[in-house]
Amino acid sequence: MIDYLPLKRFPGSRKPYDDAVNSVCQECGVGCGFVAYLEQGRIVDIQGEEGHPISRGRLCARGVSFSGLLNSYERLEKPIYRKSPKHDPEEFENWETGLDLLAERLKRTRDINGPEALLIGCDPEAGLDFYYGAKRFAELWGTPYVINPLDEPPRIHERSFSNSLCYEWLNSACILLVGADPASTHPVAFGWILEAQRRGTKIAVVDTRFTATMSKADFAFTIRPESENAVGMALMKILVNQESYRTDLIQERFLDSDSWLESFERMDIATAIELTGVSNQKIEELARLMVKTQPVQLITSKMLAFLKGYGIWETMVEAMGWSRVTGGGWYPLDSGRPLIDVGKDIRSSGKSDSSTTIFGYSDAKNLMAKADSGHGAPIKAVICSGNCIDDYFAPLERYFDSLELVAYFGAFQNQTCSISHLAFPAALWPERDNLYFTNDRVVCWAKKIVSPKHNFRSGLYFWMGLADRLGFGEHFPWKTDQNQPDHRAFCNWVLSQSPLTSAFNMDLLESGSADARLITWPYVADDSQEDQRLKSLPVPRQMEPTFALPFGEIPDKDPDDSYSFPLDLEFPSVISRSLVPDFEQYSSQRPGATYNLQLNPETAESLGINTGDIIYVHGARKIVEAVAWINRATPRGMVYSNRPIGENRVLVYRKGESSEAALSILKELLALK
Amino acid sequence: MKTYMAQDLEKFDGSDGGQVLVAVNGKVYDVSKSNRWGKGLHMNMHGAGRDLTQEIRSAPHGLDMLERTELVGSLIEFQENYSESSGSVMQKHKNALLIDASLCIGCGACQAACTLEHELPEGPLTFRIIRLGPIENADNLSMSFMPTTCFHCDKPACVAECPTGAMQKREDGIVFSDLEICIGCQTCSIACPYGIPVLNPAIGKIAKCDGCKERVELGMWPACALICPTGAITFGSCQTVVQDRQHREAVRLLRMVQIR
Ligand code: SF4
Ligand code: SF4
Ligand code: SF4
Repeated sequence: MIDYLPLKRFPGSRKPYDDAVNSVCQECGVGCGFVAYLEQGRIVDIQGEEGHPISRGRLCARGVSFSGLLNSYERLEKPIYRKSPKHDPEEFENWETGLDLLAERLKRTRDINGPEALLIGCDPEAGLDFYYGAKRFAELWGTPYVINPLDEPPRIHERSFSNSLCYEWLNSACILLVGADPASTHPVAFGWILEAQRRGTKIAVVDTRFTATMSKADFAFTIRPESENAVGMALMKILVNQESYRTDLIQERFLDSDSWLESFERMDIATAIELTGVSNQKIEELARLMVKTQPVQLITSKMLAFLKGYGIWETMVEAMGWSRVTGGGWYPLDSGRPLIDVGKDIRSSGKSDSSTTIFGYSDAKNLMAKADSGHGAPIKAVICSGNCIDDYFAPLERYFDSLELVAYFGAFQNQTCSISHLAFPAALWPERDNLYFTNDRVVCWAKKIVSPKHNFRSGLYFWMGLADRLGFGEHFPWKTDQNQPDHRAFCNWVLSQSPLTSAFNMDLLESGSADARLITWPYVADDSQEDQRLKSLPVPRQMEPTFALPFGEIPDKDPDDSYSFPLDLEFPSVISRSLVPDFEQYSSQRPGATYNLQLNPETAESLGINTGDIIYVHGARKIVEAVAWINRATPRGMVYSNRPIGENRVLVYRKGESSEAALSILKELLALK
Repeated sequence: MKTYMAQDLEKFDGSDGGQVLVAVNGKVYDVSKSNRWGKGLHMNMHGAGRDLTQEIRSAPHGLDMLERTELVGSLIEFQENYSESSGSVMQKHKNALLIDASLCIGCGACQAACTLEHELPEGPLTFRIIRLGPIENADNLSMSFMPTTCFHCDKPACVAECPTGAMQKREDGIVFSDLEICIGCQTCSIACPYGIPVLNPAIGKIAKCDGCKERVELGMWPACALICPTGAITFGSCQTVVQDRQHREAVRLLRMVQIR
């Protein structure tokens, strides 16, 4: 086989340094290796780690820019308290006073409203120790409401083991990306896709708007928002009709394969395709490509996990025989974390009876909506992290005014910080020891790179302090001799709580040897096996396949909404918030300062809007002002905002013009009845 | 301080009872006086006269191992952009930064690396990614990215117009502004046909690609080339990068006709 030998690279740092630390970038799920060069404890240079098997010395913009964030003037330096968002903040010299106050306020809320009045939001920025700490705390406290935007319905998460490491994509004949734009969100992983393409792999992309990833595709089309899984269903239907699936495999792997097949035979493909807004031919062409070029590697974005019919992707790779072969399989982005139940021991000792069902952010929306309609007002207190109000809590923002207590654990003085009663300065990932799972399901133990300033504390410190004050201290026993949280012991314990990860331990992860750095979960330690990862895949067992959705019965969008608010509003997905979500944003200085709305040229022209105009973005509940940007990447019926507005359907018009006129123009343009 | 190449270092392994040198993190230490290092072998594992950066990271005592040792120089990897001629006088070769726009995804890593390397504030763009599109192309859209930085022109207009002589062209072709002399008048920005030099508002002087001249001198690739996640930027002697490009293309064509 002829091969191309890449040019020899000459890495290194020219800056004077007295220490060099190898670590793993935690800005996204690729987990690139890098070397941080330090002088007197300060980062002076960051270079990719040449020997890292996934990143090969490369990094993306976020991977070198994080050091700038550590010393950002926007960091929250001290815990603060304010009576209400309108009052000026008071600073505390230390955390302890702040935690005392938080504990007292929480108790008061519980006495009046019960423990379930507490909602906890866990941002990826806060780290896994905050998340696991929160889960455990919630169990002790007695609230089921812990949100992590990366949590997803458990069934698939637990079961699907067809993941590959991204360099194995080189062996794919075809890579299909659905709703995913790794060129913007996971650039280093995308490097492997381009390399595969150079070797002849076909790249197909389906997304709601034109993306950087799409610009490199061999075959691509755009679909309506939230219809990604419908594309999967339509593809599966075509593959079933043509009998392209592997009869032997579905019989062996699927429970009740006959009714599964039957459900697809009955499926109403016309409605499914109508939902997606593309033509039959495009979907058929894509199906043909996938049959011609096998195995196919499917890569899907996290957002798909929250839509109906998500399981279709896993079912598809199993039915087509693409799973458990190199170069094939299903790779859901940002889903590399196993589900670990950190409250088992508490429940079994009878301290708690709350269940472990995952409480996702759509559930939170429902919960708050219930409060809206006066059916019980469940939530009175929120503990949150990251800039959640501008992110996964955006749809809940309007409820925040009525809350008795908002406590914020975060590194920056952002919008969320400014509406909170209590705010606690958090350490960022380079300032703490972290357990980390990459998209590839690699388990990492990444030590801190720099020492945090005195007031920057970890999530474990936060929960432990709170637990101590509320009498749950015995359930957070991971302390060092100096009575500080022992992250290593805690994470070791977390890993031991799931059979998927219990074979890991810190000694193995810390050994830092070349073999230890790419061990994925589920992991079975067995020295006699050369390729531990392959051997650790569980023996294929029968699974419940995902059936065809009854499309005839699914109503489209809420008809009222689509009548008065004709445009779909999209924004960078929750998961990529901490990332540079879009290729345009890199150059726009401080994303998040204002709303920036992209419109299709035709839509803009009919409304008389030009780039730079101030426009109103009008939703069912909210109107915001935004700067218009005309851009062909956005399809006609959609507008794209740089940040969430808390709406999904909107009407857009120029400042000073009438909304009725705009509505009738848009209806005509989009041919709405 | 002296600079050593890996092959120079090998002579100092202490086997002849002479000086014992080891290299860690690009620095060369004289460990002859350390009793831990005995006859050039430390704990019978780490041989002297070698680069021990990797080993030392897995060593229990890390860098303390080099206590009571003396820093004597820095280590240079084999450098293709230098050639030895007439004794120890090195001559600079011309290098090329080759940008393959077809691989660029507009991620901006090159700019971020440049910003860190040159300690620039947020704002001045030394490595611009020009996005072309999306434009309509048949019934599809298409879009491409054009990474653009200084061309280090043969007859640089910026150098010709610079009133202070800060902007200059080095022997190896690199065009850079000497910031000690630069007054930030931005005449070069106007003179440059591509508008490459920009003002660094933090120091009131010019920010422009300086070819990572200091890194290149140490034998390293420029920061942007190393970081680029898709390999769109490569670096080396003019011959190497062109050959690499040819090779890459040839392999791609061969693969097209071959059955994979
Ligand atoms: S691709 Fe992800 S892990 Fe790699 S450097 Fe960029 S943000 Fe970090
Ligand atoms: S780092 Fe590479 S891919 Fe990214 S913008 Fe620069 S040239 Fe393009
Ligand atoms: S700054 Fe402009 S004129 Fe000067 S060398 Fe660079 S490209 Fe040429």
